[in-house]
Amino acid sequence: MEQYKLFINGKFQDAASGKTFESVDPGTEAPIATIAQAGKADAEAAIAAARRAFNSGVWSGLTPAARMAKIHDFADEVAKQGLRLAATECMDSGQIIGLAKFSPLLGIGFLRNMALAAATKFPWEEEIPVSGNAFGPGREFIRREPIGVCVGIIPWNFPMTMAFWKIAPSLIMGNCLILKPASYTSLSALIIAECAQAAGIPDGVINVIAGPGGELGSVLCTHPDVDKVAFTGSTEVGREIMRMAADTVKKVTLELGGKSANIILDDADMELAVEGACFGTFFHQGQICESGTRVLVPAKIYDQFVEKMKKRAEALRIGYQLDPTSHMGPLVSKQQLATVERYVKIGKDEGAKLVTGGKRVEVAGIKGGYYYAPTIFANVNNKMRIAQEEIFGPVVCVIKYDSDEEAVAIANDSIYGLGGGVFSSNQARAERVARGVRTGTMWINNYHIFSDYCPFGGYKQSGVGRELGVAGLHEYTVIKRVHVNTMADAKTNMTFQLMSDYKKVDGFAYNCPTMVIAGHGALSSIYKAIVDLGCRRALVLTDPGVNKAGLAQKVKNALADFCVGIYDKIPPDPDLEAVDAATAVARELKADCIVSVGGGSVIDTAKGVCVTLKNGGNANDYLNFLVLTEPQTPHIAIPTTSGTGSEVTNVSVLTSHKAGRKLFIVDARIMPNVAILDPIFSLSLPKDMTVSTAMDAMTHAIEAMTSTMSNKICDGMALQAIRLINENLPLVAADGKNEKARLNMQLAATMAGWAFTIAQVGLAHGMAHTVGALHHVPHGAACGIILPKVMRYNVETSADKLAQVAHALNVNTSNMSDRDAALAAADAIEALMVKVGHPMRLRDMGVPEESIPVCAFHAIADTAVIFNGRPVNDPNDIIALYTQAY
Amino acid sequence: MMRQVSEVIVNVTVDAVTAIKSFLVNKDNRKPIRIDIHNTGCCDCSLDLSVDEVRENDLIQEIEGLTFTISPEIHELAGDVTISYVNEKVKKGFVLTSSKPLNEWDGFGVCDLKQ
Repeated sequence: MEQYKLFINGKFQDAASGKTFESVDPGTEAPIATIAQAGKADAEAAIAAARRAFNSGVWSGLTPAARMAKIHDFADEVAKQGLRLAATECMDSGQIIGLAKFSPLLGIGFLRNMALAAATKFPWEEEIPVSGNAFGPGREFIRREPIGVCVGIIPWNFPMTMAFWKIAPSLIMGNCLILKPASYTSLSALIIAECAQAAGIPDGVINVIAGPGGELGSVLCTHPDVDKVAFTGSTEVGREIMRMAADTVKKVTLELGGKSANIILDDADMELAVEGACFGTFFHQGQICESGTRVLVPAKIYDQFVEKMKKRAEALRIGYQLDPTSHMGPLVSKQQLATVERYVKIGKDEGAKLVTGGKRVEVAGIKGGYYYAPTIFANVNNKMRIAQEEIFGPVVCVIKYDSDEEAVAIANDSIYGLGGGVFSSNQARAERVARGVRTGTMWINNYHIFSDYCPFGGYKQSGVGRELGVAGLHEYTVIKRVHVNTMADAKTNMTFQLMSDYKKVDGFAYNCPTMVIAGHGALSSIYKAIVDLGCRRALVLTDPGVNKAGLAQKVKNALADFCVGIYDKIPPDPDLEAVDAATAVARELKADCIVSVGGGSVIDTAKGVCVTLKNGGNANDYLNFLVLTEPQTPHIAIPTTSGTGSEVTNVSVLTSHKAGRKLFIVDARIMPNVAILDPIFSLSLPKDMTVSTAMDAMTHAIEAMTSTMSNKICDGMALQAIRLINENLPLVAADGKNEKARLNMQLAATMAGWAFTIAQVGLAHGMAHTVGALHHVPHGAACGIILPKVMRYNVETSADKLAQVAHALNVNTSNMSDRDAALAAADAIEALMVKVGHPMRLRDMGVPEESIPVCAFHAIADTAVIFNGRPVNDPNDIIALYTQAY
Repeated sequence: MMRQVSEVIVNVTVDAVTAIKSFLVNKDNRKPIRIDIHNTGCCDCSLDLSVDEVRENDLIQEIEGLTFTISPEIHELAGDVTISYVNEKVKKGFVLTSSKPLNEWDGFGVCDLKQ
């Protein structure tokens, strides 16, 4: 009789206790081998060996390609042992030779397929292009790394296949393994260990210990050096393993029991369905966890179907497993045989009709063996124990149903959800039924088909996690997220600054890719611009006023044949619905480019349209920060005001009625591709709007300079914008048709846009947003009224910057301290406002005095306030500022 | 015909007796406790407990006022049964072991007493 030893740390050895146990051929009940019986000491030695091997990096440190090369050697050694493995598996487990002869080949294929997948297709590293954290920019990626020391505990029904299912993914993904085969069927796993040794798999990477599950399981599933347990077996044991593993928070995958439904539809091919029902149940004596042991049959063909199943079952040949003519061999043990007999008795007691089988079988020429006839129960109610509990033998329950819906309901009436089948000549109907069953695998017009790349696992109490395929490989890795900060500088780290008094962000990234075409006659450039963008079908978006003024028509004329229409229903303060309505028109017209002609409302709407047109869905889906990963629908912006700078910024402000406030799409990818600054588009802007939008631009420029994100590039843009507004606003206020001054105002607004889209704005904007939202004060006017007050407030932290502003405003600052110059700058802004007729007080804009405290509490929570150069923590400060502006 | 056995075929720990009595009082039930085979899926079966009627040919044993019943076939297969009760942080329930273990996981899991 052959003797097998434990495989620990690359060596075959006796158990520490010296104990052995016998393995018995279930077809003859004769012992065929003795096996060293591992105990606690052996389990601990195996764990220690695996831990040493893993920590050494001798295996986990190899590249996937290098591991694949060793796995190829391993597979070749399995091939050399193929005949021995097949015969041993057959005798040890009762598996018929017709099946066992394929098992080594399937194992080799699995090793090779998974190694190839890991080396060539597996996402070991994965970039995260959008992190979702706007305040911590950097490269974000994940690495998938081996978990560490894994334990594989496998059952006795497919000992060789189960061994490969645990060995292949764990080793291929860089882990080390302790494999515990079932005591009834330990031999093939120990032969596979010989193959690993012969292939030169490093010591300790794979360890195989045979012995009692209860004793070894308690060690393997609780030891702190074990990182993962993968178990295939009963739900009761799996549940206990999960509890044990919880103490040291091990990763656990479980493949447990099933009571799968094989649903025969009334249009099924009868011969195929009968074969499928019998194969689905009686294959390997029914000792398969995903067997279709509940065959659901429509009432109208029930009797006929049962009769055909009976005939087919009775034709199956039961014999010794090495006899190549045997269809079915023995059950694995006398205990399993007794279990099956017990359940058959339960079925009879429950009132099910025994159609055939229900008895032991004697095989001619053999004394003993655990053979049992294929058994069919009819008239089974799904509530019966034989329909609810897994018998794990050749026993099938045939259950009657009246409709597809009832069949699905019966299928789902189980604590399990592992496998299942549908037989039908109508594939669409079969798929509908398959979708309704809550289970891990459904076969249509087939059964028991496993494939290396197709995941297997359970719903409900059938298990946790998946085996096979790339999904199965993932189960043997753990994810590490790696963040690499864009700027390795403490003074550029906004989050570190939460614990620092230094609030300025020194480093910056300047990314403003909009092409600006400016000057008299710039509109004509649109004809080439659209071609350069690769577009042919431009939709012009505008508002009714701009359209009525004939400006949209000018654009249409300039586009010639490249214009598919003008849509002029963009409202002021656009909402999400406005974007969706415009997008619907753009989709209908198959527009490939958006041309926005208008003020900030139109351009912001167009940005939303570009996003939804490109990505599908509606505008509400994209109210996010920095989530777009590729260029959006091309956008050409033609501003008709000189204020928002939206033609070059990364913001779209849209009202959400559900949220009750304005929300944002913020992303560099929504910056328009081209901005055309042609003064003819602002010549007709009324004086009050000219003035208030100009003060919006002025506020952008000044706040960009005093923000925590300010930088030298943006400062330059802002200072030039301030100069241009200061010089030209009085001119356009006096003469709206002054084309040169209008162009300068457009340039100023664009430069202020560039400045703040990188450097952000501050408290004045936060306060203006609030009175705009609560009291409908026009944004530009609110900015203008509040700006000088906030400038004085910011003198504490931004005197140097505001002194530069004073200089740009043409204030004579010689002999002035920075502080005095800064205060003079605020005075100069107010003087400019008076000069151009800008409103000076909030009370004149309809803001009630009693609402000031409420406004203050809203304003302090506004996003813009985060960036104010002087930290704003006290709402009383804002109340004071509102009161000054009142 | 049931058979009251004189030899000990079921051992029950004090904690298990207490737990069973508590269960039965809560359910207002005084029926016998059946020891039976229960299969919870893939491969190995185990023993479990349920409140049941005494059936023909059953072996029965009285312990501390409780009646335990087991079919002769199951007793032949599993041998004498010991019932204990654990109430630990992550493990709570009845643990059944047998003199002829049904498989290598004998006594590993726990079961509830089913109504």
